Amino acid sequence: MAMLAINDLHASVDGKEILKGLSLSVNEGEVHAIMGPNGSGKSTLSKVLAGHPDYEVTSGRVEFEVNLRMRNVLDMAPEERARNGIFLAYQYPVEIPGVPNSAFLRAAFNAVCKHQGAKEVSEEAFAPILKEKCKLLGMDERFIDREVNVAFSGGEKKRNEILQMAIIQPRLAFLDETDSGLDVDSLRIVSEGVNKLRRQDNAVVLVTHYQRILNYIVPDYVHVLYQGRIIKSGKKDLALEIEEKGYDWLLKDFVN
Amino acid sequence: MTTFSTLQSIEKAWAERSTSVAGESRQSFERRERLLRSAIKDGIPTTRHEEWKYTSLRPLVDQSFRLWSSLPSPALDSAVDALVKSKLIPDATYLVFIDGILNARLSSLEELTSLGFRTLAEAESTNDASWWDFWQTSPGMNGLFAGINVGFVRDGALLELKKNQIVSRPLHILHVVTGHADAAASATRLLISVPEGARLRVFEDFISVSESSSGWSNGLTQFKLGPRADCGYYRVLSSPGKFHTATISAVLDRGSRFETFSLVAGSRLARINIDVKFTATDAECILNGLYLTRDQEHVDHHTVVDHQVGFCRTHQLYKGILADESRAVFNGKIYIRKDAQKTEAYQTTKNLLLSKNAEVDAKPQLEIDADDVKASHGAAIGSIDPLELFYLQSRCIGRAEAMAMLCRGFADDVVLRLQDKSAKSILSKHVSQWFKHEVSRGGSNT
Amino acid sequence: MAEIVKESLTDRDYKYGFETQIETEFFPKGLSEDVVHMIADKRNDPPFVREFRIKAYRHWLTMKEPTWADVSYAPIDFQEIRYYSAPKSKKEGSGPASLDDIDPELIETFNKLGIPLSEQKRLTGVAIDAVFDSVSVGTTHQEELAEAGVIFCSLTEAIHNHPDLVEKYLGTVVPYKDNYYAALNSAVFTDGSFVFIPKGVRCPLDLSTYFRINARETGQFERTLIVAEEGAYVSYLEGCTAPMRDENQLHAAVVELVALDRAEIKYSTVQNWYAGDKEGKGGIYNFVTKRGICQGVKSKISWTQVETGSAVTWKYPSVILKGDYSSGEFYSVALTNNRMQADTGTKMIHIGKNTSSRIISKGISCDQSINTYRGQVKIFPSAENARNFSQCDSMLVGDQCTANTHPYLEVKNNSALVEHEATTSKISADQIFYMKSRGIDEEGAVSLLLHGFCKDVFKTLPLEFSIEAVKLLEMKLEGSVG
Repeated sequence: MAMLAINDLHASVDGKEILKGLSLSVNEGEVHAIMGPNGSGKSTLSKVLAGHPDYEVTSGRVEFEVNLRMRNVLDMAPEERARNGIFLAYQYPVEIPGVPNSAFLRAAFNAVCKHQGAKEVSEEAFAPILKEKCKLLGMDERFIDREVNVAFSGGEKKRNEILQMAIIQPRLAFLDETDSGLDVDSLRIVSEGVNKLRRQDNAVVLVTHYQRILNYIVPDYVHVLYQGRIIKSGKKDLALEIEEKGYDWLLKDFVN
Repeated sequence: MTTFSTLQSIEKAWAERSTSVAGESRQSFERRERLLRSAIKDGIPTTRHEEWKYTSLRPLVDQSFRLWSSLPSPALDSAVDALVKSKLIPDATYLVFIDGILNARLSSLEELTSLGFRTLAEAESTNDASWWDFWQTSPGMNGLFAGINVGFVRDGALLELKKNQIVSRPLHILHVVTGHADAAASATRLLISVPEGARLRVFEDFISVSESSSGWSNGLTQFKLGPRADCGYYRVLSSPGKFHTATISAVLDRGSRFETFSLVAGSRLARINIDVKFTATDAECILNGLYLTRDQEHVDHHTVVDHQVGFCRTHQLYKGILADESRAVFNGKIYIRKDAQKTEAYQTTKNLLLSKNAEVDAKPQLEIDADDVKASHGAAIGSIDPLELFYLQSRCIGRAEAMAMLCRGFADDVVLRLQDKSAKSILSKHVSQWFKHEVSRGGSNT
Repeated sequence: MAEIVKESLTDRDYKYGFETQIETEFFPKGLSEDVVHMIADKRNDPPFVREFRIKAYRHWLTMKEPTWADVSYAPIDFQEIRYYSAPKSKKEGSGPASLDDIDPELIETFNKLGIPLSEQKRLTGVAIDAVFDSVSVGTTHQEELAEAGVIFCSLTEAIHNHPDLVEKYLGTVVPYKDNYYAALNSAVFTDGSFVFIPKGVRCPLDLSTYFRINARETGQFERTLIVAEEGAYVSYLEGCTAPMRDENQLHAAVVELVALDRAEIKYSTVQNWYAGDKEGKGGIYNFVTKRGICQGVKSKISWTQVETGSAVTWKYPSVILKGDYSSGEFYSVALTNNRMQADTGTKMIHIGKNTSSRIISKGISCDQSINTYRGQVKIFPSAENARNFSQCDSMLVGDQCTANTHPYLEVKNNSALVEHEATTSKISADQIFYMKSRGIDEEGAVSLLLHGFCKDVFKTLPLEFSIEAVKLLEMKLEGSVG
């Protein structure tokens, strides 16, 4: 049974259709890469999955396995999706002045605990957990005391996303252009972070324009998204081929 | 009638006061009368008056508060006593006023002596005309409620620090409105002089005994900062259901620093005027505020910062969170006069409307007569940013909790900017209390 | 339009300071109900217009001159003004029947201003209504516009030829009770332009009115009414000049715009009335009420103004956003020098759902002038999801001038988002020198700074208009920066 099943998904923003019949299936333990030129619908897919209010699903189905049952994701509020294990690492993480990172992370952690029927943790009990995650990801603990993403550099924001992922421990992580705007060192640190969080029972979907990040997080499958549909799927080699030849050779045969 | 209702009734109250006060010096009487008369010369303003465009005094006028009473302060019952004690900041020097009258027992008179303390009556017997001129002509003293205060104030305090005196214990001034039927409107006048090189932190709280009774406090707090003086002034208004008017003025000398914060977390109708004037270079003013309103509360801040000389800095941030049918007014004016080159002045106001029926009126204003300055202002009024809300939701946090978190973050953003650590933690507690109440009543923010 | 402005606006001195010697008919000085009747008689007003005037006049008598603006001037003696002055025409009645009837002297005047009116010389691509003192002297391209169903004529003609339309809309956006000067205008207005774009028509030409004050001691009280029906579009341009005189002259105009469903009106002004001399002597008092209503859904009204003249300006082109999804824009560059005083800005009144407005105001103050932005954004409880963004920047040139910013933000709906930003900067001799030392001449340096500061407004002007507006501003600035 697939963990995520997207079937003939159509979605639009401001009345303009962006996704035009996208289908995708992801199993436990797999790493998928979704590639495509700018404007092909990659970010839309990520946001639709997380339940962003600006995006409207016009038809199609998105199902996610919860306790061995496939459940309709589109019916769920954004927090429900997150609590059930769908995580989106944003391309542009939102800055929230006045809210300390530590309070934010604890609220998220407790929401998951509560959802899973576990006990919520106090501030004191949470501190060592947070410390440990920072250590695991090689992050500076001073991160924790700052306001959520406020005055963070591009790389720091992306690392903060991965820290959130470490706290929430999702079953499906959707990384939206996590590599964009990162220098080589930051890319390596972020990728190592993601790899450390991988398990047999979770899955990762990388949404990316470039092949670069795939050197660090090796995909099992590569899909090419174009004009709101997946026009080609393959193994890891496909990404290398795209790096070598660009997208044009793929798009040439695809006349819409 | 000796009430605040019509011009005639104010006149009558003044006449009654004049006959019932014995032993007042002529100079003192004239000082009071002059300011009162100039304040009321145009009558009680209506909303047609530009400075009162968004705040109607009608509800205050309708209460017909007694302006003058010569009765002695009523004996305190144990409830008031306990309330006061519960509100006092630990490890501070206390100055407690009950319905405008200094309470010697609850105040720390001995320690106050080291702060150059004198009662207002003692200060008024000073015949140094130029010394008085300073206090009578400070900015903002021409306002309506400054004049009413000066005219009818019964008690108050003068604090004159010594040169280079560093005061480590905060001064906590507490005003209690008992809502006692015989009591006149509570008015106190505070004159605080922080001379060259001296340092002082002042907390001023306005509280009330019961929510059900009516009451009006009319504060007047004046600061004089000498060269390199450092003064923090943190005021908290938490008197739900009560009326409050206030005049705060500060005159800043060379290299001085004035940090002030006005927190309003409970008041039926509040009008707070803050006037800051720079008279010599290199001084700095941090002018922040936060108003948290619910029900039909109405909170109006009018601030004026006057850069008369160059090389001074102003940083101003006022934020508001409004629930229910409450209304807030922010009117901030910054003058940069002709000779005030190299001034830096930044002013921002941000407001969060939690309910359909809340209203904000903002008038951030700049008047610039010098060309080599850095000045900006900004204003934002809206509800919770849907993107921030979505971000928190996508991190498992439920909608209601996310809303609460964002509101709290919005408020903390301004509180956390305070430089003074104790001020930060004290004000933070007040903010927490307001939010706790907001959550317990189910909040309007969901 | 390019030629017009190029010809007329870019001269170093105030080139339009000349006076036309023409036989003029005018009323004696002073204002009374009789004078209002005389104007009505002279214009051959139908009863509804006469009534409107009288009601306005009687109301005006009860009003007080506004004093809240940051401007000061000697009190105006309304009995020392002439309320009617017109070049004597060959035929009495309702304005010139054809362009051939215009006095050659007038044709020559407008030629000198760069506004050729005659058939042979007239400009292509833009139709012009020329207003001289109290009357319209001619409108070009009328036939071409008529073919498209567009009515563009003097208000006088419109009152006689399209009384139903005028009666339906006159005073609906700016009621005669609105303010002191609007009431005065409603009583004594003499002419102005009328534009009607019928349903679904995109006006084939830019329309333009050129206002000229010539006669001494005369006030100009014109009134413009533009109606765009469902889905219509029009771009309208306005220019103004006056002779140099030592005494002040009053210009109190009213402009009303009505946009129905999905209609769009773009109204651009380059205002270059005589501003008085260096000591502040003479110049026009420009007390103008301009307002548009976005009556229909998805309608749009956009004001762009480049204000460079007038001794005293009191002007707030506004938009009432009544239709759902309607939008209003205000783009302004106001330059004051010498002793000019300008108090200008806008009002955006949000009533309909999902309405949006945008305010970009750039004030440049030089010498001893006072330049004030005053703007109101009002969100009614009914205006769900209203959006406003305002950016009001001031630039100070020299240390004798004043720049004030007075925004009024009134929000009564929590789904609204209102944002206001303001900054201050300066042009200094140091900056100019720095650029010069990198090989840029003074003109180029001023132009670079000006462009940087005003680009958001300039890009909303029709292209040629914008090039010439920039030249006009540069010319004014150069004298002050040097």
